[in-house]
Amino acid sequence: MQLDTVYFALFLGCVAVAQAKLPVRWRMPVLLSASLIFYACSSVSYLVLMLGLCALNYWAASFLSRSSNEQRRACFFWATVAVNLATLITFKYTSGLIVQGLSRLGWTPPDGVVTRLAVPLGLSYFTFQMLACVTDAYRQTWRLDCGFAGFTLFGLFFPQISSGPIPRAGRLLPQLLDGHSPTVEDRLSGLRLIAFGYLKKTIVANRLNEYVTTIFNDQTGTGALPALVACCLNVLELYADFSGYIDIAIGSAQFLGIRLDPNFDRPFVSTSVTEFWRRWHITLALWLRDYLYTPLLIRIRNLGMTGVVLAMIITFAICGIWHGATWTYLLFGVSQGVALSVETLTKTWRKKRLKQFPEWSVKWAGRIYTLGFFVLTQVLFRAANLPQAMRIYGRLTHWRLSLHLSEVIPTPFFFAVDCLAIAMWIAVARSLGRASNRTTPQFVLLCGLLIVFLGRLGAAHFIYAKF
Amino acid sequence: MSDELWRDLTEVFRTSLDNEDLTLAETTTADDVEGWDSITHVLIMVAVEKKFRVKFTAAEIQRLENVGQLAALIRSKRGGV
Repeated sequence: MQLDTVYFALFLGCVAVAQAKLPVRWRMPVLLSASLIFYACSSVSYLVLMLGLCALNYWAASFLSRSSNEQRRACFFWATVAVNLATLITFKYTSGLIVQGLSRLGWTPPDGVVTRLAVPLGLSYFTFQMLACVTDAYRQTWRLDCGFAGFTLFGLFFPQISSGPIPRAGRLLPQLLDGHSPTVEDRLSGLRLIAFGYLKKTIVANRLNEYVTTIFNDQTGTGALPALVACCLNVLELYADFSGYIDIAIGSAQFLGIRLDPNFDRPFVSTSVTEFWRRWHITLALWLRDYLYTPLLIRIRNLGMTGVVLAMIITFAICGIWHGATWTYLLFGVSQGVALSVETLTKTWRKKRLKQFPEWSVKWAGRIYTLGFFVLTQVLFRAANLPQAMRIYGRLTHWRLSLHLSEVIPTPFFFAVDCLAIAMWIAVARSLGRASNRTTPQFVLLCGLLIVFLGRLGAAHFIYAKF
Repeated sequence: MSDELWRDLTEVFRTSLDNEDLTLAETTTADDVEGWDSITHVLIMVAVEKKFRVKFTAAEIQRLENVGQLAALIRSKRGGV
């Protein structure tokens, strides 16, 4: 059940009604049942797998929270980490490699086989959650003090299980276990966010997807301008798609009285790539910092700044590979790590040298550099393979004056509608900040009308669903 | 806590963060000091280990919540000096 479907909206409505009608002590069981049903809709057999992983991690986290035998604690911790990672790697990479291998041998597996090898819903994000729990319990910075049902709800909480935001047990678990009912403010602000998320997905992401896909798949085009427009729109599409999903996830949780951590904070105002990663996919960036980068840096701390650079590049390389076992994702990750390393190494120098320029010019130069860097590296993220990415980069160097308008805008009418959709998105984003409980019906109606008239419904699923 | 330990610790922080005016309290955290991020935190730990000739474990470094806890950890490593 995808979050951008009518079925999900109906499902959420039913859960909210059950939550409102049943006594407060039933609140947690209602959310748990809903989460189990939601997962079962994806796959019953994978639900059994996820429950098994929940049981393993619950057992490990409760042992790590109670035991004081350091040797046994270390054994339990590393064994649990190994099982979690082995499960993730097996499902995420092995199935793809098998299908790829069979294809190379000239046999295309039937759809049924491919489906059976598919990655369980939200396994990546679930693994991040579980690793954070057992690590925090091992470090003794968090203590498990709830039952298995509460922990399972934390692991499979349906609004965020598909693609995040990645929650931390210390903040989400107490809310899930608490019996309080959602307030009117929770319901209405949740509703506004859901409507805005649907709007971003349907009128911006789905519309732009067609244009960007056409240019990226065009094997014969040579002009730089169409490629540049596609690269810029590619970033806008990814942002609208992923932040749209996140808005629906956070809004759905809020509709049920649960606050999830934010995942975006106006990333395009960033003046450096370092700042960008504090504003883009925040929960993943913080997870990488706390559970991969910092422990790695601590281990190699005696290398000084060399260690800092190594830890950064390794962390982002793993982040890239996590998206998929391809050269494009690896290069995407490494490029981010290199940019962050260069920014870290030149931080003091830049601070001194840039003092002589007006503050506003430094800020705008930083924004243009950051956005330019992200637009270029996102080509690797989008491209189906390395040759396609190289073709796009090749086109970007091929500037010529004799360019037909039709090369940039193959269908002027649809391009104009795309521009109108982006303008509407910006206008609605501004009115979201001003919307109140009283104006929620008007806001939701406005979003609904724009979705009906400008939206491309059911065109493509969320990009991050595949990770 | 000895004045000498506190003075040396302040000196390490001032050098690592390039801030000669920095003053530390037992309750000071990374959020209170400009430039004290995850990178400088680890570099400060390396400088502290060198200065006080102690060795921290990864878990000890990650459990620290404020400067007071760091000072207490140094003291415990040095046998309560």
